[in-house]
Amino acid sequence: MRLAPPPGGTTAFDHRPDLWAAFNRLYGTLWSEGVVDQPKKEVARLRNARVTGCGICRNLRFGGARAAGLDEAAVARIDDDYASSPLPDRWKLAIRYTDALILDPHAVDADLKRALLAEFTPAEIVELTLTITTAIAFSKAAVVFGAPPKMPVVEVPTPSVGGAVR
Amino acid sequence: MASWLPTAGGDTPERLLAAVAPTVAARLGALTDGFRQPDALEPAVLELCRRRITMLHRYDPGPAPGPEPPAAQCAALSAWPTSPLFTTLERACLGFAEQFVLDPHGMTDAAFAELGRYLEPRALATLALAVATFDATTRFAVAMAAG
Repeated sequence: MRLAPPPGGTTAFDHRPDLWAAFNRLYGTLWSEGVVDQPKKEVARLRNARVTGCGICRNLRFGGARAAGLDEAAVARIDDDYASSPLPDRWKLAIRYTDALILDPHAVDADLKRALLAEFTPAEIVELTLTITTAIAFSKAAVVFGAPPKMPVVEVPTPSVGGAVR
Repeated sequence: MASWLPTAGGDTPERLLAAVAPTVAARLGALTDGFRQPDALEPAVLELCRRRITMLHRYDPGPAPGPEPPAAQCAALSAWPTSPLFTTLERACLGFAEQFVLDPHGMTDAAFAELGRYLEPRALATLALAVATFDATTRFAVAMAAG
């Protein structure tokens, strides 16, 4: 890791505990107090982890989505062939949207917007979008800080307002 | 800039967020307010990074609350690597922001170590948190805006 955590900390962000706590309150709200169910957000987060290439994010599993049925067989289908997989259509749409947000958010075209509006409420779309863009950015932060290329799959608690992303 | 989402009060991405997810908007506001407090890194430097990130995303959100960088610096922002208007510290921070947005995998140990010559760990963590947040919120705003 290019920036070691401070004594007693677990991430480089612990050098700014006040801002890191503020971030975790935001991310915890998105994940645990939102209107979109956790498997949809987790599918999107894991898609970003694969595309962005974050060794940490790719192998973390948030407990809430796991408890709601997102198992490793489903996770394995979040690959290049996801569109022809038996994943639920709403998950496929979340993956398609994630890809657009990663590659170029200007490229969210009319067809994709129509599909999103047909499946999700405006509040769900807003929450899904900010959750995904935040996951994109902080997976990039992990890459910049020198995330390990490989680590074992680890289940962690879903981020919550009182918790922290580790 | 209006949004493509049919939501009352959502005439900007920020107002859209406040209209449909007020708690999220408040917590995002608390985080971004933290970047405007003088600490390990001057808020004006972070504001330069925010503006550069919005330029890279081809998005014009207008001014944000907080310290305004000098107008001449704002006008020369796309030329920061060679413009004499920027300090070594500002160049280091803008270089980090660009690397982050465009190619995070291109960050090298040597480049990160060079950054550490100008920024102690608290300032580096501040910069990374701010840049990541600006990248996330700009990407969100672009996606929510009408197109």
